[in-house]
Amino acid sequence: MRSLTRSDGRPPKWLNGLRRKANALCALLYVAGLIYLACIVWPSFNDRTYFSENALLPGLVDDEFVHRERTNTFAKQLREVVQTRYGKEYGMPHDWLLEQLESIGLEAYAQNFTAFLPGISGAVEGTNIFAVMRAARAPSVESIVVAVPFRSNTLGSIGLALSLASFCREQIYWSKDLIFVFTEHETIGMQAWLSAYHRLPISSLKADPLAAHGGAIQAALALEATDGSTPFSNVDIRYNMINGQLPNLDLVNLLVKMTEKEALVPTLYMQEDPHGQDLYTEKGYWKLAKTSFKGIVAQAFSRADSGLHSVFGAYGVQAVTISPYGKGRTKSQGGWVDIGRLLEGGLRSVNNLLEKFHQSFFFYFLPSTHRYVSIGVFMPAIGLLMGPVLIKALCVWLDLNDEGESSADGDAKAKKETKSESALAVLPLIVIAHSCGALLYFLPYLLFNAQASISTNDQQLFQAIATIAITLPICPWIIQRNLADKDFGVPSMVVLRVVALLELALIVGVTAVLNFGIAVLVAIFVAPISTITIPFRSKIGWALNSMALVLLHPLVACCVALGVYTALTVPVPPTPSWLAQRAFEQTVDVTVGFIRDSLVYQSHLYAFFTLALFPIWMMFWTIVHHRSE
Amino acid sequence: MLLSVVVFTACWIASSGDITAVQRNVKEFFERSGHTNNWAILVCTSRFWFNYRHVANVLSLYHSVKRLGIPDSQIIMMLADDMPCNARNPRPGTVFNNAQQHINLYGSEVEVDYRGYEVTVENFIRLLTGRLPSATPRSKRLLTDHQSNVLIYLTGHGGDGFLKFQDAEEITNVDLADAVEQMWEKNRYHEMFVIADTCQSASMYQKLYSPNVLATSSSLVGEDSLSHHVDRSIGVYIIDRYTYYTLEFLERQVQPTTNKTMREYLDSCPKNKCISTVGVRDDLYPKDTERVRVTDFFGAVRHVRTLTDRVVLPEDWITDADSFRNEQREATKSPSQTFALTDVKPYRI
Repeated sequence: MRSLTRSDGRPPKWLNGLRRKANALCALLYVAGLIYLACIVWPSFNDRTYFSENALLPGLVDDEFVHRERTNTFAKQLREVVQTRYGKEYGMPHDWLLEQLESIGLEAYAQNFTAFLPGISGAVEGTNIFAVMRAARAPSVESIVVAVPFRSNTLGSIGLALSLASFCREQIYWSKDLIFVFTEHETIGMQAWLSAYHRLPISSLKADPLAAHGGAIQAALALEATDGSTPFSNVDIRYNMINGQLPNLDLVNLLVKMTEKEALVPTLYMQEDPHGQDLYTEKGYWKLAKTSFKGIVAQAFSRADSGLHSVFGAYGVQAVTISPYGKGRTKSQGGWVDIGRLLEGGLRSVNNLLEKFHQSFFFYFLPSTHRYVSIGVFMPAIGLLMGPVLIKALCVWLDLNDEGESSADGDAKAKKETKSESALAVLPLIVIAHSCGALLYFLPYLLFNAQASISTNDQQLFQAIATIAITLPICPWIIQRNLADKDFGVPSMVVLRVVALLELALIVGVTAVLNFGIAVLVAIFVAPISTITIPFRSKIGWALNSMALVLLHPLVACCVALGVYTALTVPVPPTPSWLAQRAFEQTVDVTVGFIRDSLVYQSHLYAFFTLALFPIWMMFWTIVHHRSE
Repeated sequence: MLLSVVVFTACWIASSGDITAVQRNVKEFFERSGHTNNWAILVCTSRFWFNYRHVANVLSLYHSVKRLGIPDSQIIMMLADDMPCNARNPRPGTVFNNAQQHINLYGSEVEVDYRGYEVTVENFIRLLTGRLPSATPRSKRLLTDHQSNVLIYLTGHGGDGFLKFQDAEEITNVDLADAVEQMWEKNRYHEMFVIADTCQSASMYQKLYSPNVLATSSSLVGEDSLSHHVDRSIGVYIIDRYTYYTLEFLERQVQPTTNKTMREYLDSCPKNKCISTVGVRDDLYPKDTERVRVTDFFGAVRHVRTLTDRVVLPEDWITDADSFRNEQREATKSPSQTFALTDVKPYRI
């Protein structure tokens, strides 16, 4: 890398040019970043999906699953048992499931678990039922998981899973074990099962050890169809996992191919692909853009509610959820048997594998089921969006140095002292900002102890967090107003600004690899505001900047975003008060949800917002509210 | 067609009453074959279930070659993976090469000499050059001599200048050429026919420089060889195009007694069937491929020539039975001079 000074000590010419045109360049780069993001969705700039793993041989074999009667019988019996035993409460009939699985010939077991969740009084208890089908001619070193959650409207899926299990038991071509898991309390049960399977204890989840194992899990397919709507017409393929992880693209492509083989329409986020001839048209473009946007948001705020597959990521298992829906037109296709054949094709393909999924992409987003944008294509967007932040930091730092040098006559010593003092003086502010973030992060854990009998409900938890989050920003303001100005002169604010900008760039850059969704959203909304945040002298500038920063406060931004989303998606134009109330309720849900996710599913979103983003926000807030004389 | 013309000409000459002339004409149409035994080395270099078709290729050729007369003791078959007993095989114990015909290529009469992880580049070159450890059994040795015609068939995944063994190593065309040259230096073949059925397989014979080698490949450099069809009940590609069409030729038209030529074999997979272009290297081969029988390489056919001329044997070729017995008696008298009836030094390998 070229040094920023020439041999005579002066900066190179291009640097001077950069500093002169800094603002224009920053604006240009930001706009270029936005245009870049818009462009990569256009089909000419991305590629058609393909299979990287030769061993998969997807769709080559004729599917043999034809057990319509068996599926219907299982579903009907299950419904009867649930109705007679539990009535409207739809409790899970564990012993009936165990009995059925044993009659099929599988090793069936139950696993109890207890979860302690904030916002829910008392413990959540449940029992998972799982059955292992051993491969007859292969050593049991690898396995494939088929998971179905127990819910009032997944009884049909459970019936299908049972008849699929009976079909698979009769086949001789398995090289891996098949494990059928029926979870209670959906993803909580799945997480309990997985943590026990991989022997990784989770503090808020007490899961009994499993009685049987099946080796390393190569892939997991979760089935979640709502009842009463066969024949189906579409299959929604959900692939977003916690912490923005994504399964290998080969697995997603495999299920897309299997869906199309059964003459069903695969969708992502319930959005259908643009038709063939519409792909390069404007109409097609908006469809692709909508799916991409949903993909980015889903990856950014990935929760566990999209399906059972979402918790597999932490264990390095590639998993996808199939969700058939829609009203099929003909009775001959789209029934349970076709979904069964879809799963059978997927299982047989994964059965052909010799190694873990490793050939295809792990970092991508999908504008449609047949097009993908890989990390090499979308990463420059982060560079373009964060470029302004880095350039601004560089220019501000150089300006600071120049200022120090230019007034170097007579007052040199005094100035130098001030500069180093101001640089050090900023340190307490930085420490305060980060400790505020840390306080916010540890607050739920302090309030909620897994072993304690005191439990909080949603509202109390949120109130505690919101209070702290809103009162904390007052601290630096108070500190500044009370202490003498000479300790926090303008140069120190500049140093703080450089530190904040660099930290923002670092956080976003690092997060961009792990969770591109959240990084790009932060880059789009936070980067421009952060670049122009300065200790304004004029009242108007100060007011505008403060307002912008207030909007960017994590809680406020959440509220506003949810409000906008609700306003866009609700069919009837809402009244402002109703909208505000709904947005507030959703913010509570989301915040508590993030905390719960971090406790149960080891999601890092809450930590990201409190430990990473909030301190940066605090530093910018301090800069804006600096009063100089 | 050509044969009928020859026969017609022969009949016309036969009016002179010289039967041997007719025979000589027919026989002289084909070039004189100087080999006395035939060997075949059939190598499948790829493992894993999705390379089922390579094992099917080799087994198909194995059956053809056996049918045409080469015995198991003179066929070295190398299969890099166990397809019949693979857990993914829905028909355990079988290998098929055709989705319709349902002929099982695997069974108790199939003798695999090198199996599984024994199929390595080192073992292949040691086999060709004969430099094997002394404990190697005979079934794993290439016991050819200067009068053996050797057929080498290689199938698997390949590229420009190499053939992939076991997904872990490669043999280059230079390695192969040098091994063949070692064979020539050691008089381990009379004539050799190398077939490479992989992608870009023409590159495998580009570096050959030993005499009496004829080579062919399923595709030229820059082309991919393609597979033929899928068996939808097993779920794999079951045979490659080149092997499918050349096998059709061998199975339908070649018998131990037919006179099909090598040129017909080399032309048996034209571009419209094979899609890739079949490559041929015949500059190292002295004979005209139109006048060499297919069975010279693919079968063990003995051409019996009747002699009508008088042959006078030299005196010292004939040993008088009595004089031989006398010599023996004299030998037993002096124990220090013991010798065996067949005093042949063991063949040095």
